[in-house]
Parts: sequence; C-alpha cells; structure tokens
Amino acid sequence: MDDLTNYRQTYIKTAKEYADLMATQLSVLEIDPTNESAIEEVYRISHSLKSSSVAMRYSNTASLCGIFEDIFKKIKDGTLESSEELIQIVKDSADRLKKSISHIELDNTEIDLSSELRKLRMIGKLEKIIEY
Amino acid sequence: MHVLIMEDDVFFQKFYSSKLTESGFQVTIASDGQEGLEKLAKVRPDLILLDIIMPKKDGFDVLKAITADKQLRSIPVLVFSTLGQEQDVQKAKALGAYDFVNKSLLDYNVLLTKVNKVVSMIQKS
Repeated sequence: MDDLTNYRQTYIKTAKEYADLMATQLSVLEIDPTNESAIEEVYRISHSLKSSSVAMRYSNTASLCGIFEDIFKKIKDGTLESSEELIQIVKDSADRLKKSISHIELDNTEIDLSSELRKLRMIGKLEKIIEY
Repeated sequence: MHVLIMEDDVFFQKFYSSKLTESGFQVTIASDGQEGLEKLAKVRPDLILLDIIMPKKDGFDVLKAITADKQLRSIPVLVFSTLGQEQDVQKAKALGAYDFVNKSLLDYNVLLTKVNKVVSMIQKS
C-alpha cells in the first residue's frame, strides 16, 4: 500500500470542502426535504467522502459517509421517504462528521460516531451498518 | 501513453494523476462525465480511467456514449470502483468497460499492473 501521510493534507482539504458542501445542501433539505437536486448532491458528496476516507483508513468517518450514501440512495430510488425528522438526524450527524474531520486534522484520530450510526440505521431502515 | 482520468473527487484526481505522471504517462483530467466527453472530442487518449458516480453525466452515460462512437469504442476503459459497488462494476463491464480498479485501496501497484496490461494489449495490436 502507498504511504498515506503524503496525501493526508489533500484528504483534509477536500474532506472539509465536502463537509461544507454537504451542510449547504442539508440546509436546503431542511426547508424542502424532497428537493431532488440537493438529495443528489448529498448522495454524491457522501459517496466521494466515503471513498477517500476508506482510502485513508479513517473507518469511522467512512462508515458514517457510507450510511449517508445508503440513505440518500434509498431516497433517490423511492424506497425511503425523506422527511424533516430524517434530515435533522442527518444534519446533526453531519455536524459530528465535521468534528471528526477536525480531529483528524489536529492529531490524526477520529471521534466515536457509533451513536450517529445507530440513529441513522434506524431512521434509514437499513439492515446493517457497513464498517470499513 | 496518454491517460484520460474522468473523476470528480479531487483527492483521487491528485493521487492517480501524480502517480501516473511519475510513471511516465501523459495525464488529462476531467471532473465529470460531460467534461470527459468534451475532452474526448478533442483528444484521443490511449486509455480511460472512469469513475462511475460523477455529476452531469455518470460513468454509465459515458460508457454508452463511447461504445456508440466508432472512433471512441476502441479506447480501453478501466472503471474505478469502491466497496459495495460490485453490481455497478458488472453493469459497467456489460456496457464495454475492460476492467475495474478499486480506488479505495489506494494501491497504485494494482492500477499500474492493470494499466500495463492494457498497454501491452495496445502494443500487440
């Protein structure tokens, strides 16, 4: 495997940008939980941030983004209804995601995101949480 | 050899383009499928590295456009995948992708092996 330290700064920079973009789209969804453009954006951002977090071995962050991706894929597919309650839980979890990225920047450690994963699994009606 | 990378994630753009450039490849980057197809109208790469989930046009749209074009369909395409995307990889192969690379492994040697396999194939033909 390649030495990851060389790519940590790139990861942190892009992760922070993605987290900010996600927050913006979630603000749109707070007003209109069915906004298709915002749903698509959150899905795509989640996928991208999951991929790079997996690559950098930040498993908690990757798992959280993975569950965002799964939830928004279900919303896109029409198998899960978006709602104010769901968006609020996602928004709260996205705030924790930002905190995790800050921790990674500070000392290369993640925060515990297991509580967020459990809540999202329930609201997203997901069978399991994929841990990376 | 010229490689066109169609990938919206800046992290993976930087990783793979820097590694391929170090290995002596000429690299062009497109940040989405639409941009990728526009670049294909102007340049003819020897290989395409294609992400599936991208804005504007996704990897499947790009594959359909490539295989529908007589001049483009001979360019080999390696699809970037991540964990949980196995069905997408199968769909991409059915649409004409040559092979796939799990980008989350961030193992350049795996990519280079597959790229060199394509290079050998091109050189033999």
